[in-house]
Amino acid sequence: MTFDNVRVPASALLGEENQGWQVIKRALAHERIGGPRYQRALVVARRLERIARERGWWERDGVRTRYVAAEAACQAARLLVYQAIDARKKDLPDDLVVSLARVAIVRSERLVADLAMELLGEEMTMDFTPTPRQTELVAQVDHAVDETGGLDRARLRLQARPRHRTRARACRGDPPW
Amino acid sequence: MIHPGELTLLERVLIAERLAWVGAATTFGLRAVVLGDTVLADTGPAGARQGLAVVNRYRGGLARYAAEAAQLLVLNEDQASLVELAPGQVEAVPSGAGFPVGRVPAELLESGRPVEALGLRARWALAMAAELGGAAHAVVELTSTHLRERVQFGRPLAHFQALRHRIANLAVDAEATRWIAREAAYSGQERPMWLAASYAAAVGAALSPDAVQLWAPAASCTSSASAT
Repeated sequence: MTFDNVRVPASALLGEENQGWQVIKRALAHERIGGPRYQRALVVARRLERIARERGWWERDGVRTRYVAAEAACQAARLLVYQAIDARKKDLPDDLVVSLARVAIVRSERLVADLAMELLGEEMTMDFTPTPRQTELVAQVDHAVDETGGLDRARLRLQARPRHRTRARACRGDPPW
Repeated sequence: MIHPGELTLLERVLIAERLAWVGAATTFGLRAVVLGDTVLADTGPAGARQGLAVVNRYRGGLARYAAEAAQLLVLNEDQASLVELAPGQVEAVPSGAGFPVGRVPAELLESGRPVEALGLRARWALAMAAELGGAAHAVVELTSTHLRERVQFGRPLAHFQALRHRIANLAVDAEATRWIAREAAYSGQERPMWLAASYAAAVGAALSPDAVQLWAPAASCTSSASAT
Protein backbone atom coordinates (compact mmCIF):
# COMPACT_ATOMS: atom_id res chain seq x y z
CA MET A 1 0.00 0.00 0.00
CA THR A 2 1.40 3.40 -0.95
CA PHE A 3 0.29 6.98 -0.39
CA ASP A 4 0.90 9.92 -2.68
CA ASN A 5 0.91 13.59 -1.73
CA VAL A 6 0.30 12.96 1.93
CA ARG A 7 1.77 15.35 4.45
CA VAL A 8 2.64 13.77 7.78
CA PRO A 9 3.69 15.93 10.74
CA ALA A 10 7.13 15.17 12.09
CA SER A 11 5.59 14.48 15.47
CA ALA A 12 3.80 11.45 13.95
CA LEU A 13 7.02 9.87 12.65
CA LEU A 14 7.81 6.45 14.05
CA GLY A 15 11.55 5.87 14.34
CA GLU A 16 13.97 7.43 11.91
CA GLU A 17 13.21 8.72 8.44
CA ASN A 18 13.59 6.06 5.70
CA GLN A 19 13.55 3.31 8.31
CA GLY A 20 9.89 2.51 7.76
CA TRP A 21 10.48 -1.05 6.66
CA GLN A 22 12.37 -1.80 9.84
CA VAL A 23 9.49 -0.39 11.85
CA ILE A 24 6.97 -2.43 9.89
CA LYS A 25 8.96 -5.61 10.29
CA ARG A 26 9.12 -5.16 14.02
CA ALA A 27 5.47 -4.20 14.28
CA LEU A 28 4.35 -7.15 12.18
CA ALA A 29 6.56 -9.71 13.87
CA HIS A 30 4.10 -10.23 16.64
CA GLU A 31 1.12 -9.98 14.34
CA ARG A 32 2.17 -13.44 13.14
CA ILE A 33 1.60 -14.89 16.58
CA GLY A 34 -0.87 -12.33 17.86
CA GLY A 35 -3.95 -14.55 17.81
CA PRO A 36 -3.82 -17.43 20.29
CA ARG A 37 -4.72 -19.91 17.58
CA TYR A 38 -3.09 -22.74 19.50
CA GLN A 39 -5.70 -22.22 22.20
CA ARG A 40 -8.54 -22.40 19.73
CA ALA A 41 -6.99 -25.59 18.33
CA LEU A 42 -6.80 -26.98 21.86
CA VAL A 43 -10.46 -26.22 22.46
CA VAL A 44 -11.33 -28.07 19.26
CA ALA A 45 -9.09 -30.99 20.24
CA ARG A 46 -10.82 -31.29 23.61
CA ARG A 47 -14.18 -31.21 21.92
CA LEU A 48 -12.99 -34.03 19.68
CA GLU A 49 -11.90 -35.94 22.76
CA ARG A 50 -15.41 -35.63 24.19
CA ILE A 51 -16.93 -36.82 20.93
CA ALA A 52 -14.56 -39.79 20.81
CA ARG A 53 -15.47 -40.73 24.37
CA GLU A 54 -19.20 -40.31 23.77
CA ARG A 55 -19.09 -42.52 20.69
CA GLY A 56 -16.91 -45.18 22.27
CA TRP A 57 -13.89 -44.50 20.05
CA TRP A 58 -11.53 -43.32 22.76
CA GLU A 59 -10.04 -46.69 23.64
CA ARG A 60 -9.55 -47.70 20.05
CA ASP A 61 -6.07 -48.07 18.70
CA GLY A 62 -4.54 -44.79 17.66
CA VAL A 63 -7.22 -42.37 18.84
CA ARG A 64 -5.57 -41.45 22.11
CA THR A 65 -2.15 -41.32 20.48
CA ARG A 66 -3.43 -38.87 17.89
CA TYR A 67 -5.17 -36.78 20.51
CA VAL A 68 -2.09 -36.62 22.75
CA ALA A 69 0.08 -35.60 19.80
CA ALA A 70 -2.40 -32.83 18.96
CA GLU A 71 -2.67 -31.56 22.53
CA ALA A 72 1.11 -31.69 23.02
CA ALA A 73 1.57 -29.68 19.83
CA CYS A 74 -0.88 -27.04 21.11
CA GLN A 75 0.95 -26.79 24.42
CA ALA A 76 4.28 -26.59 22.62
CA ALA A 77 3.00 -23.75 20.47
CA ARG A 78 1.73 -21.92 23.55
CA LEU A 79 5.13 -22.17 25.24
CA LEU A 80 6.97 -20.93 22.16
CA VAL A 81 4.59 -17.97 21.89
CA TYR A 82 5.32 -17.19 25.54
CA GLN A 83 9.00 -17.29 24.62
CA ALA A 84 8.46 -14.76 21.88
CA ILE A 85 6.45 -12.45 24.11
CA ASP A 86 9.06 -12.75 26.84
CA ALA A 87 11.83 -11.86 24.40
CA ARG A 88 9.91 -8.79 23.26
CA LYS A 89 9.21 -7.74 26.81
CA LYS A 90 12.90 -7.97 27.67
CA ASP A 91 13.86 -6.19 24.45
CA LEU A 92 15.82 -9.22 23.26
CA PRO A 93 16.13 -10.23 19.59
CA ASP A 94 12.90 -12.08 18.83
CA ASP A 95 12.98 -12.85 15.10
CA LEU A 96 13.96 -16.46 15.66
CA VAL A 97 11.58 -17.22 18.50
CA VAL A 98 8.68 -15.60 16.66
CA SER A 99 9.38 -17.78 13.63
CA LEU A 100 9.59 -20.90 15.76
CA ALA A 101 6.32 -20.02 17.46
CA ARG A 102 4.67 -19.38 14.12
CA VAL A 103 5.68 -22.80 12.79
CA ALA A 104 4.55 -24.47 16.02
CA ILE A 105 1.13 -22.79 15.81
CA VAL A 106 0.56 -23.95 12.25
CA ARG A 107 1.65 -27.46 13.19
CA SER A 108 -0.73 -27.61 16.13
CA GLU A 109 -3.67 -26.49 14.00
CA ARG A 110 -2.80 -29.00 11.33
CA LEU A 111 -2.63 -31.88 13.79
CA VAL A 112 -5.98 -30.96 15.30
CA ALA A 113 -7.52 -30.61 11.84
CA ASP A 114 -6.14 -34.01 10.84
CA LEU A 115 -7.56 -35.52 14.01
CA ALA A 116 -10.95 -33.97 13.27
CA MET A 117 -10.95 -35.27 9.72
CA GLU A 118 -9.95 -38.75 10.80
CA LEU A 119 -12.51 -38.88 13.59
CA LEU A 120 -15.45 -37.24 11.87
CA GLY A 121 -14.77 -37.90 8.22
CA GLU A 122 -17.71 -36.86 6.11
CA GLU A 123 -19.35 -35.12 9.04
CA MET A 124 -16.73 -32.43 8.55
CA THR A 125 -17.80 -31.70 5.01
CA MET A 126 -19.86 -28.63 4.41
CA ASP A 127 -23.09 -28.80 2.52
CA PHE A 128 -23.01 -25.98 -0.03
CA THR A 129 -26.33 -26.82 -1.62
CA PRO A 130 -28.58 -23.82 -0.95
CA THR A 131 -31.98 -24.40 0.53
CA PRO A 132 -35.02 -23.16 -1.47
CA ARG A 133 -35.26 -20.17 0.85
CA GLN A 134 -31.62 -19.24 0.23
CA THR A 135 -32.09 -19.58 -3.50
CA GLU A 136 -35.10 -17.26 -3.32
CA LEU A 137 -33.15 -14.67 -1.33
CA VAL A 138 -30.31 -14.64 -3.84
CA ALA A 139 -32.79 -14.27 -6.70
CA GLN A 140 -34.38 -11.28 -4.97
CA VAL A 141 -31.01 -9.62 -4.53
CA ASP A 142 -30.12 -10.25 -8.16
CA HIS A 143 -33.38 -8.66 -9.19
CA ALA A 144 -32.76 -5.63 -6.97
CA VAL A 145 -29.27 -5.21 -8.37
CA ASP A 146 -30.54 -5.39 -11.93
CA GLU A 147 -33.07 -2.68 -11.19
CA THR A 148 -30.74 -0.27 -9.39
CA GLY A 149 -27.71 -0.90 -11.57
CA GLY A 150 -24.20 0.31 -10.88
CA LEU A 151 -23.89 -1.66 -7.68
CA ASP A 152 -21.40 -4.34 -6.97
CA ARG A 153 -23.43 -7.44 -7.65
CA ALA A 154 -20.91 -9.84 -6.26
CA ARG A 155 -20.64 -7.91 -3.02
CA LEU A 156 -24.38 -7.81 -2.55
CA ARG A 157 -24.69 -11.49 -3.25
CA LEU A 158 -22.03 -12.17 -0.68
CA GLN A 159 -23.80 -10.13 1.96
CA ALA A 160 -27.19 -11.57 1.21
CA ARG A 161 -26.11 -15.19 1.14
CA PRO A 162 -27.16 -17.01 4.29
CA ARG A 163 -24.45 -18.81 6.15
CA HIS A 164 -23.77 -22.35 5.07
CA ARG A 165 -24.59 -24.87 7.68
CA THR A 166 -22.87 -28.07 8.50
CA ARG A 167 -25.33 -30.84 7.92
CA ALA A 168 -25.66 -33.04 10.95
CA ARG A 169 -25.40 -36.56 9.73
CA ALA A 170 -26.46 -39.64 11.59
CA CYS A 171 -23.77 -41.08 13.80
CA ARG A 172 -22.43 -44.17 12.13
CA GLY A 173 -20.87 -45.49 15.31
CA ASP A 174 -17.50 -46.19 13.76
CA PRO A 175 -14.59 -43.95 12.95
CA PRO A 176 -13.62 -44.02 9.30
CA TRP A 177 -10.49 -46.14 9.75
CA MET B 1 29.00 -30.96 45.12
CA ILE B 2 25.41 -30.52 44.01
CA HIS B 3 22.98 -32.53 46.05
CA PRO B 4 19.86 -33.03 43.95
CA GLY B 5 17.79 -33.45 47.09
CA GLU B 6 18.20 -29.73 47.73
CA LEU B 7 16.99 -28.73 44.27
CA THR B 8 13.51 -28.30 42.87
CA LEU B 9 12.28 -30.70 40.21
CA LEU B 10 12.65 -27.96 37.61
CA GLU B 11 16.27 -27.41 38.58
CA ARG B 12 16.93 -31.13 38.38
CA VAL B 13 15.34 -31.25 34.94
CA LEU B 14 17.55 -28.39 33.82
CA ILE B 15 20.58 -30.38 34.97
CA ALA B 16 19.45 -33.45 33.02
CA GLU B 17 18.78 -31.31 29.96
CA ARG B 18 22.14 -29.60 30.16
CA LEU B 19 24.07 -32.83 30.60
CA ALA B 20 22.38 -34.26 27.52
CA TRP B 21 23.06 -31.05 25.64
CA VAL B 22 26.82 -31.27 26.23
CA GLY B 23 26.76 -35.00 25.51
CA ALA B 24 27.86 -36.17 28.95
CA ALA B 25 27.68 -39.96 29.22
CA THR B 26 26.24 -39.99 32.70
CA THR B 27 23.06 -40.97 34.46
CA PHE B 28 23.39 -38.14 36.94
CA GLY B 29 20.53 -36.23 35.34
CA LEU B 30 18.33 -39.31 35.23
CA ARG B 31 19.07 -40.07 38.87
CA ALA B 32 18.44 -36.48 39.89
CA VAL B 33 15.04 -36.30 38.19
CA VAL B 34 13.77 -39.79 38.97
CA LEU B 35 15.04 -40.38 42.49
CA GLY B 36 15.74 -36.83 43.54
CA ASP B 37 15.56 -36.47 47.27
CA THR B 38 14.09 -39.88 48.02
CA VAL B 39 16.99 -42.28 47.63
CA LEU B 40 19.99 -40.27 46.57
CA ALA B 41 21.14 -39.77 50.14
CA ASP B 42 21.73 -43.53 50.31
CA THR B 43 24.17 -43.64 47.44
CA GLY B 44 27.27 -43.45 49.56
CA PRO B 45 30.30 -41.17 49.55
CA ALA B 46 31.26 -38.98 46.65
CA GLY B 47 33.21 -40.91 44.05
CA ALA B 48 31.32 -44.13 44.61
CA ARG B 49 29.57 -45.68 41.63
CA GLN B 50 26.32 -43.81 41.31
CA GLY B 51 25.04 -44.85 37.91
CA LEU B 52 21.35 -45.61 37.70
CA ALA B 53 19.50 -47.78 35.23
CA VAL B 54 15.72 -47.91 35.03
CA VAL B 55 13.71 -50.75 33.63
CA ASN B 56 10.07 -51.76 33.35
CA ARG B 57 9.32 -54.91 35.31
CA TYR B 58 7.04 -56.30 32.62
CA ARG B 59 9.45 -55.55 29.83
CA GLY B 60 12.91 -56.22 31.30
CA GLY B 61 15.67 -56.81 28.79
CA LEU B 62 17.80 -53.93 27.58
CA ALA B 63 18.37 -50.84 29.69
CA ARG B 64 20.62 -47.82 29.27
CA TYR B 65 23.79 -47.88 31.40
CA ALA B 66 22.66 -51.10 33.09
CA ALA B 67 26.07 -52.78 32.74
CA GLU B 68 27.84 -49.86 34.42
CA ALA B 69 25.22 -48.73 36.90
CA ALA B 70 25.47 -49.17 40.63
CA GLN B 71 21.72 -49.42 41.01
CA LEU B 72 18.81 -50.70 38.99
CA LEU B 73 15.37 -49.22 39.51
CA VAL B 74 12.62 -51.68 38.59
CA LEU B 75 9.19 -50.15 37.98
CA ASN B 76 6.17 -52.39 38.22
CA GLU B 77 2.75 -50.72 37.99
CA ASP B 78 2.37 -48.96 41.36
CA GLN B 79 5.37 -50.68 42.94
CA ALA B 80 9.08 -50.11 42.57
CA SER B 81 12.26 -51.69 43.84
CA LEU B 82 15.88 -50.66 43.87
CA VAL B 83 18.49 -53.33 43.13
CA GLU B 84 22.12 -52.87 44.17
CA LEU B 85 24.26 -54.04 41.25
CA ALA B 86 27.66 -55.67 41.52
CA PRO B 87 30.20 -55.16 38.70
CA GLY B 88 29.62 -57.70 35.94
CA GLN B 89 26.17 -58.61 37.14
CA VAL B 90 24.58 -57.14 34.00
CA GLU B 91 25.95 -58.07 30.61
CA ALA B 92 26.99 -55.21 28.34
CA VAL B 93 25.73 -55.45 24.77
CA PRO B 94 27.05 -53.59 21.73
CA SER B 95 25.32 -50.24 21.32
CA GLY B 96 25.29 -47.81 18.46
CA ALA B 97 22.92 -45.48 20.27
CA GLY B 98 25.53 -43.17 21.78
CA PHE B 99 25.23 -44.60 25.26
CA PRO B 100 26.05 -48.02 26.77
CA VAL B 101 23.34 -50.62 27.02
CA GLY B 102 23.09 -53.67 29.26
CA ARG B 103 20.87 -56.72 29.21
CA VAL B 104 19.12 -57.11 32.56
CA PRO B 105 18.67 -60.77 33.57
CA ALA B 106 15.15 -61.74 34.59
CA GLU B 107 16.11 -62.76 38.13
CA LEU B 108 17.27 -59.23 38.92
CA LEU B 109 13.75 -57.93 38.23
CA GLU B 110 12.47 -59.88 41.22
CA SER B 111 15.10 -58.70 43.69
CA GLY B 112 15.89 -55.41 45.42
CA ARG B 113 14.31 -53.46 48.21
CA PRO B 114 10.97 -51.71 47.81
CA VAL B 115 11.03 -47.95 47.39
CA GLU B 116 8.26 -45.37 47.26
CA ALA B 117 6.83 -45.72 43.76
CA LEU B 118 4.58 -42.67 43.73
CA GLY B 119 5.44 -40.52 40.72
CA LEU B 120 8.57 -42.48 39.81
CA ARG B 121 7.30 -43.59 36.43
CA ALA B 122 6.17 -40.11 35.43
CA ARG B 123 9.49 -38.63 36.54
CA TRP B 124 11.31 -41.27 34.51
CA ALA B 125 9.32 -40.15 31.49
CA LEU B 126 10.08 -36.54 32.35
CA ALA B 127 13.81 -37.26 32.67
CA MET B 128 13.81 -38.78 29.19
CA ALA B 129 11.94 -35.78 27.83
CA ALA B 130 14.52 -33.45 29.39
CA GLU B 131 17.39 -35.48 27.98
CA LEU B 132 15.80 -35.60 24.55
CA GLY B 133 15.27 -31.84 24.70
CA GLY B 134 18.94 -31.27 25.53
CA ALA B 135 20.14 -33.72 22.90
CA ALA B 136 17.81 -32.24 20.28
CA HIS B 137 19.13 -28.77 21.07
CA ALA B 138 22.70 -30.00 20.53
CA VAL B 139 21.69 -31.62 17.24
CA VAL B 140 20.20 -28.34 16.00
CA GLU B 141 23.27 -26.36 17.03
CA LEU B 142 25.71 -28.75 15.38
CA THR B 143 23.59 -29.17 12.26
CA SER B 144 23.10 -25.41 11.86
CA THR B 145 26.84 -24.91 12.01
CA HIS B 146 27.36 -27.67 9.46
CA LEU B 147 24.82 -26.13 7.08
CA ARG B 148 26.48 -22.75 7.33
CA GLU B 149 30.00 -24.08 6.82
CA ARG B 150 29.53 -26.85 4.28
CA VAL B 151 29.74 -25.48 0.74
CA GLN B 152 28.09 -27.28 -2.16
CA PHE B 153 27.28 -25.99 -5.66
CA GLY B 154 29.24 -22.86 -4.85
CA ARG B 155 27.38 -21.77 -1.72
CA PRO B 156 26.79 -22.91 1.83
CA LEU B 157 24.13 -25.57 2.32
CA ALA B 158 22.24 -23.12 4.51
CA HIS B 159 21.41 -21.09 1.39
CA PHE B 160 19.18 -23.88 0.05
CA GLN B 161 15.62 -23.31 1.07
CA ALA B 162 14.70 -27.00 1.26
CA LEU B 163 17.36 -27.51 3.90
CA ARG B 164 16.38 -24.34 5.73
CA HIS B 165 12.85 -25.66 6.07
CA ARG B 166 14.10 -28.88 7.55
CA ILE B 167 16.44 -27.27 10.05
CA ALA B 168 13.65 -24.85 11.01
CA ASN B 169 11.40 -27.80 11.81
CA LEU B 170 14.15 -29.38 13.88
CA ALA B 171 14.62 -26.11 15.75
CA VAL B 172 10.91 -25.98 16.58
CA ASP B 173 11.10 -29.58 17.80
CA ALA B 174 14.10 -28.97 20.00
CA GLU B 175 12.94 -25.71 21.53
CA ALA B 176 9.43 -26.98 22.17
CA THR B 177 10.69 -30.19 23.74
CA ARG B 178 12.86 -28.30 26.18
CA TRP B 179 10.11 -25.93 27.24
CA ILE B 180 7.34 -28.50 27.48
CA ALA B 181 9.56 -30.59 29.78
CA ARG B 182 10.50 -27.55 31.84
CA GLU B 183 6.90 -26.53 32.30
CA ALA B 184 5.95 -30.08 33.29
CA ALA B 185 8.71 -30.07 35.89
CA TYR B 186 7.57 -26.71 37.21
CA SER B 187 3.99 -27.92 37.51
CA GLY B 188 5.05 -31.08 39.32
CA GLN B 189 1.96 -32.82 37.96
CA GLU B 190 2.07 -36.18 36.25
CA ARG B 191 -0.14 -35.46 33.26
CA PRO B 192 2.08 -32.68 31.87
CA MET B 193 5.06 -34.98 32.42
CA TRP B 194 3.48 -37.68 30.29
CA LEU B 195 2.51 -35.11 27.70
CA ALA B 196 6.09 -33.87 27.59
CA ALA B 197 7.38 -37.42 27.27
CA SER B 198 4.97 -38.11 24.43
CA TYR B 199 6.04 -34.99 22.59
CA ALA B 200 9.73 -35.72 23.18
CA ALA B 201 9.40 -39.31 21.99
CA ALA B 202 7.81 -38.18 18.73
CA VAL B 203 10.53 -35.57 18.30
CA GLY B 204 13.26 -38.10 18.99
CA ALA B 205 11.87 -40.48 16.39
CA ALA B 206 11.55 -37.78 13.75
CA LEU B 207 14.73 -35.87 14.50
CA SER B 208 17.34 -38.56 13.93
CA PRO B 209 16.57 -39.38 10.30
CA ASP B 210 16.22 -35.71 9.44
CA ALA B 211 19.51 -34.84 11.08
CA VAL B 212 21.32 -37.72 9.39
CA GLN B 213 20.08 -36.58 6.00
CA LEU B 214 21.07 -32.99 6.65
CA TRP B 215 24.56 -34.09 7.55
CA ALA B 216 25.19 -36.52 4.75
CA PRO B 217 22.42 -37.07 2.25
CA ALA B 218 24.74 -38.49 -0.37
CA ALA B 219 26.36 -40.94 2.03
CA SER B 220 22.97 -41.96 3.32
CA CYS B 221 21.67 -42.68 -0.16
CA THR B 222 24.79 -44.66 -1.05
CA SER B 223 24.61 -46.85 2.04
CA SER B 224 20.89 -47.47 1.49
CA ALA B 225 21.52 -48.45 -2.10
CA SER B 226 24.35 -50.80 -1.19
CA ALA B 227 22.27 -52.37 1.57
CA THR B 228 19.59 -53.29 -0.90
